[in-house]
Amino acid sequence: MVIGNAAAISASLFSPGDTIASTIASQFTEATGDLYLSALIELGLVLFLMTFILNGLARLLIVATERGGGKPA
Amino acid sequence: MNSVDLSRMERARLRWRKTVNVIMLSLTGIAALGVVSVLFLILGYLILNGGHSLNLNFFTKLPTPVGESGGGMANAIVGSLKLLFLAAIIGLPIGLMTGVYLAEFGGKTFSFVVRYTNDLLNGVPSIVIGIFAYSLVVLPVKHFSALAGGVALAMMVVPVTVRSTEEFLRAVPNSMREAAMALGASRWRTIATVVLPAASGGILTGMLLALARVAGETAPLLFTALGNQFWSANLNQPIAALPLQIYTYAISPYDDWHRMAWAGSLVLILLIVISVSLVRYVTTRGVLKGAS
Repeated sequence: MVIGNAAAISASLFSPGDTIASTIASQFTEATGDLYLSALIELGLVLFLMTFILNGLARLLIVATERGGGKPA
Repeated sequence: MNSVDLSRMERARLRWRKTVNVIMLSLTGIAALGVVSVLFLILGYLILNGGHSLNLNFFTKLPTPVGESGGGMANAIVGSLKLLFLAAIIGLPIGLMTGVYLAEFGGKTFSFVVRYTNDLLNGVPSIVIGIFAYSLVVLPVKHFSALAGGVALAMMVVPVTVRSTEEFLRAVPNSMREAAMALGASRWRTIATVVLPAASGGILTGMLLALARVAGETAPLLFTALGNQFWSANLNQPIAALPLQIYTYAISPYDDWHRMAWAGSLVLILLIVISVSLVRYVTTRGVLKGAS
């Protein structure tokens, strides 16, 4: 919530922005109509895919280091 | 020329290595100090802002309308406990069973898939869990409910429980399993009466830490439990929860609601600190292990 919930893209790290999670949290309760709701759930899907990819990369890293003769976890 | 020069070079290198050592050592020390101090800074700040709003009323009264003083968060505290209870009875058995499966049975490929999916579930943002529980439980019945909140929290409890259960079961030496089997015990009896009791202390710790972790979650409850200003006995109705109440009060424009939010945060963090330290104390003393 401290990010500021600004629906704008700004280059500065000191100006308000928005994250996927904060967008969903702040707009879900005021989402009118199915399209708005679906859009927010789609945002959730995007966030999920991001974690999915990051997790996959982490797995790959573990496999790669294990194969390289590193200490198995 | 060489012997004198070499030793001077060696001395220089040694000095360099010692300097690097001192710098890196102090950096890691500072980082460790930072970790500890963050917790105490948060606690101190909460006591400073919320300490004076904390009284008996806070624990026994319902929230009051804006402008009226007094009032408390009794319903939110009880609501949080109810939600945790729901999450525990839904999530812990599933987590425990999956952990047993992964550690004791399970082929290579399927185990890998389960473990990978479990890690993924652990990494799913809590707000996505909230949306999922919303469309799974809230949408079909068309109203928010404590049950939906419990389901959302349970989904966050499962991956942590699976992980810790599997780890602690793997820590049980294989010789114990072999001994049980040598005595003629079947597979399930070995697991149920030898392996599980041996790991019970660790497994219980993992479970309680998982519950402590979800106790402070707001995001999954926003669209499921919704919050409630009154007592709610029915699990099919919206229910208040401490983190939710803090959230609603913190974004409100009223000063006394802000004060209540501070006090609520203080209570929440104290509850978590006390329960986690209690778990640590009990398990390190081996009380649970001895009892089982």
